[in-house]
Amino acid sequence: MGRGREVVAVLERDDEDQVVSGAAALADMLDAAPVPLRVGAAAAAVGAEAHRRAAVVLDALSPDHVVGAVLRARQDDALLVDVATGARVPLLVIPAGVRGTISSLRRVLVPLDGSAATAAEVRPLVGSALDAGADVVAVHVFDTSTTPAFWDQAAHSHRTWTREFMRRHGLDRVRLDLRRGQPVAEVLAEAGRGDVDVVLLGWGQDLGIGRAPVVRALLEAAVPLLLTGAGPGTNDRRGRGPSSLAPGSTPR
Amino acid sequence: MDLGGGPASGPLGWTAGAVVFDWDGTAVPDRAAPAQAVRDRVERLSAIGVHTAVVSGTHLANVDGQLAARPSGPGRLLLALNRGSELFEVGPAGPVLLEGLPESTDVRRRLDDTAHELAGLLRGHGLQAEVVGHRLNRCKVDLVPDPRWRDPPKARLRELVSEVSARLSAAGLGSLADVTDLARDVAARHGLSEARISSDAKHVEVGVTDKGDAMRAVLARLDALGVGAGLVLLVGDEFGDLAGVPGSDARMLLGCRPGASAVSVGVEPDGVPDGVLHAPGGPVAFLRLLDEQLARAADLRVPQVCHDPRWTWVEHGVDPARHRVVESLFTLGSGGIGWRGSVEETADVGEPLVSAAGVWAGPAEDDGLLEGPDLADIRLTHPVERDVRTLDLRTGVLHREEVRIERPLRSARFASAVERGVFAMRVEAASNRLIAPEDADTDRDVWSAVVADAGGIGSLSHERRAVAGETTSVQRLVCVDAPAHRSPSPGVAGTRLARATATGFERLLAGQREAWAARWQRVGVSIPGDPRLELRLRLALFHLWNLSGRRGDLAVGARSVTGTGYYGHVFWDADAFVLPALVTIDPPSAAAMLRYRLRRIGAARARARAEGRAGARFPWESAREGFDVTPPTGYIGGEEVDILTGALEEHITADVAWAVHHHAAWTRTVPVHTTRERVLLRDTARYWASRAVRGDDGAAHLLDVIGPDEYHEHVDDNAFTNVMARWNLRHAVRHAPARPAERATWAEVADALVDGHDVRTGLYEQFRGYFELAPTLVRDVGTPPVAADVLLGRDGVARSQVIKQPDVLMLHHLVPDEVVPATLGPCLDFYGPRTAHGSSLSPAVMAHLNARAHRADTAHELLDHALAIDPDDVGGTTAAGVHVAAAAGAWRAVVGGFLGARVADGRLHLDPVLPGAWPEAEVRFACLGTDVRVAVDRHHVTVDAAGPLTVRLAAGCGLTGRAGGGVDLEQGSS
Repeated sequence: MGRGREVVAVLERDDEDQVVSGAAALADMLDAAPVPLRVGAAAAAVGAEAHRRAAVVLDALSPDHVVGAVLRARQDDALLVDVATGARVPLLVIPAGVRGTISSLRRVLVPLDGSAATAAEVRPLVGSALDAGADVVAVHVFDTSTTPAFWDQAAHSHRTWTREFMRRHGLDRVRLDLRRGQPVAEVLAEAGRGDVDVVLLGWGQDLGIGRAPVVRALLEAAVPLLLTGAGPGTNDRRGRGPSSLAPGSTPR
Repeated sequence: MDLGGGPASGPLGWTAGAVVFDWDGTAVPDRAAPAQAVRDRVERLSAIGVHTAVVSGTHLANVDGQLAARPSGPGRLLLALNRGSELFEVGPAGPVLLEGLPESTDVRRRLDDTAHELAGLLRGHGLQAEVVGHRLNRCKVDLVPDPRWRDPPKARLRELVSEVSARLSAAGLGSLADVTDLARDVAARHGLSEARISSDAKHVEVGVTDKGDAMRAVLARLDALGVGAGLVLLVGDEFGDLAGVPGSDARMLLGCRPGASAVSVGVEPDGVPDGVLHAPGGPVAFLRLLDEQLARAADLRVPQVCHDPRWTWVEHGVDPARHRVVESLFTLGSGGIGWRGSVEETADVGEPLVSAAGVWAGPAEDDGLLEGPDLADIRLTHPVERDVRTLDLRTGVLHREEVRIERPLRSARFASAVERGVFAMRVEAASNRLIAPEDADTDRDVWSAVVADAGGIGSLSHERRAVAGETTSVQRLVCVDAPAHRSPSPGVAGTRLARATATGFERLLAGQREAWAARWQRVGVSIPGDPRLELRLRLALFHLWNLSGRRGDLAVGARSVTGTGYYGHVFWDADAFVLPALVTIDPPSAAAMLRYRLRRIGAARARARAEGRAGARFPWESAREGFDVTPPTGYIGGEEVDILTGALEEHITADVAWAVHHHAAWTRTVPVHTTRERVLLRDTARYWASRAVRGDDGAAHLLDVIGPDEYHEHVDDNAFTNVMARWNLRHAVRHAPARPAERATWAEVADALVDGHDVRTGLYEQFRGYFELAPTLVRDVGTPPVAADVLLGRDGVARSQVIKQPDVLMLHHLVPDEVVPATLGPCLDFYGPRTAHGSSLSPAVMAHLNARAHRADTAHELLDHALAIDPDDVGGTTAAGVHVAAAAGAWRAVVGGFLGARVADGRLHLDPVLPGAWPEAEVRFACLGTDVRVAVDRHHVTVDAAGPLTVRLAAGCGLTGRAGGGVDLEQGSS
């Protein structure tokens, strides 16, 4: 028999209780065991040393039995950038603003931009979270590019629109919270309300484009961020026809 | 040509709707041969609804005398004889001439002169050539008048061609093709420039018609029976060239539109043209083709649809994100019962639904339409990976075919347009893939029912299975009984199902094709220059037609019977959009819609009474009982809001009264109202009279309402509400039963109602204080159509002049005689840029009005928006059902907008205008008890009617009017 499923806690210091607790919580969600991975000396690495440590981490995350990783975000964090853009497994990032240990990841917020790609990326982890008993809430923000063409009757449109939105993205069991405004700001506001344990974000593992601004903004927030990219089994279909359109987004 | 199928499924491999064939050499070896085998098959094909047609150069006595078939239908037997000069239909009593081209003395003389000159020229070259006796509209020259070559059998065709070629060559006449060219020249010299020249090698024929004309006549007849060219199997024996001259059957290909599958059973010495299947064997091979058709019926094989792009809506692939949208678009309806277009195996991503207009799960506001038993539930061992689904609008048949697989799943289903509530389905797949139900092959009817506290939906189904080779077919005929006020009855369903099973699938299908063809003949559009919008309009009409045949009253919810959206509730959409469309499509259904309101006037009176008013107030949202069922809360985007429409959107009361008037105006030559209608007019007028308040200015006001523009709530003197109420009061003064004093009061209130019109600007103010709002335009917010309330929030949009839909312009739409003349243009200019089209109804209304303002290209663009709403799922909610009122609005934009059709004083008034994209258009619709056809081009408008009809062209109409049929055409005076 192979080794059991593992979540790797990436430790750059000995006293990183947040990372250890985060790994335990993520392992609970993913039905895995937390294992520590010490990658350095007392101080966080910079420059070439950071890249060397990132290579060590990515190597540790490569086996099939590793299903997740946890690490702490720091200022100008080259290690985080390398690992986040290179990891093939979901990565729980603990921003500097998070205080105390992480007791659980049972209240999950999932920002959805309406693209098929984002939904495809988060779908497996949403399933795991729901199976683990988590309360998962998705949030979608209407702005000038995603507002529906029409909203016939307020008494009915919400029901039909949200139901189809979630079905279209294979997230039928998730409650959807609709907001309007600037998407990043609205997601930050939602995440900062205090009743969210973790923000689950699908992204393209590219810090330069797409959803990267949301990632960067959330790293400034005080809520753990669970990043999942276009890993195995996901299929970025954005821009390939009607299935990539959110219900209500007007082709322009 | 790929004809599909293969050896296991027969030579052709698909099911034809009609077989058109040549006679001599194809169906029979010669004119003396017995034709019993053909007769037998023609009559059996007719009995299962397959049409047959003989195309021959010879005359009736020859063909009918030899064939002697007397089919009893429903499949028709046509005889297109004398090379296209005559078309007969043969019934049990024998042939009846349908069309004939008489031969004039002049034509006969020219033909004879041509033949004699041609024969003389040939003889001048030393070729023995003789004129054969004259035939109707043609004459023949025999190139080998040699006893050895009299009536050569088809088997000697190669030999004959060689002999003729040798003789022509020896005479220095070149080839057979040279002789036909010569014949053409001679005919032209005799004034027959359009002469049809053909040759069977032995003869050269010169005529004014040929088999191409015969084929055209046959196809037109088949088209009228709902059989498109793609369902036609064409069989002949001489499609290929003979010594450089097209074979005698080749003209059948020219007369045939693309799509008909052609098979040659002849010798074809020089091969067959591209696209023609060669299956030599003569009449024996022909009989095999007919037998295959009979066998396919016996084996319950899935029939084909005609893949005509002007009539078919096609969806490729299995896209989970579009799946439920397609289900809505592909809903089939019969008798007001809808069967969503879910796939037969009910994919996980699907939402199958059988629902019926007016049948709710209960009386509560959120009960929704009752969901009846699933009619498909086919089980497969392996899922379908890729398919093509085709809704054939011409016949109302939904077809499906799996692709990229050796033995594909196929299905076809339809909601009978003949037998109310009857649905038919066939599915075929590899035998090892279809999982048989436990009670398969029991040959018994299965009853399933879902019953509500009042009403229910029950289905009685009869299933058969058949195996052919490695393919298993399942056939299911179902009768759905869906009463609104009693439990569904297997007895009621059983009677109709017994009739349907006795009729059989094939005959039901033939009836279906014919019934839909008749529908399209009466109601439809032809816009050759704009096939995209033409198809979308046909899809819209298809969904409206699906409402027809409902007994009792017809409650049309916002999504009709195509989905669960809006709980099936009935809004003003029904009265102001769907009913006006249905009066031009299926007037009995419009009457049934009216009955829904008339029978619920008690609830409307109770509402008015409870609010301290007189008369009757109709509810904003209603369901079974006619009480208001508007939910108390909802969401604008993510913003939870109290729903005020139920309390404040009162214009619906006048909209219902307007629907009463509109129905009468369009369906009755003398628009008198029934007693119940007059009572409704009275009670709605009483409501408005009691609702209006007098202000210090002495004027009458309606305070605290919501207009169709729902972005602004709690408004006073909404122009739409006030003017509709005024119209209601004035109409009641003329038509409602009341004492003179009460009428006088109504008239006084009507005259006192403010309407917001400003004589200086020509504008109506949407409501009091609207002009003082922030002068935001839609372009400041986003690109329309856009749900501006979702984007700005309820309060944000309320502070602006941005409107959901144009209340003021709705007045020009519904009651143009109640608004000041020449105000449409200024109001369009002002309100257009402020209209977000945040309602699915809005683009169609604006299309209509822009057409009326002769801004035809803008109207065309807006019509395109309106018709995209469901096919393109513009709002993201089509999965919950099609927006039937938007579809109705689009149709109205064509009839009332582009044609400018109005009915007043028992006349149809027209003022057509066409956009640049439409050089010509033809629109057919019902009006004043007759069927009307209006054809418009850049210079003319032509009006035909099946019955007497007075039509008046608008005074400013720059088109030349032409009248046909029973039309009395008047030109309006300036």
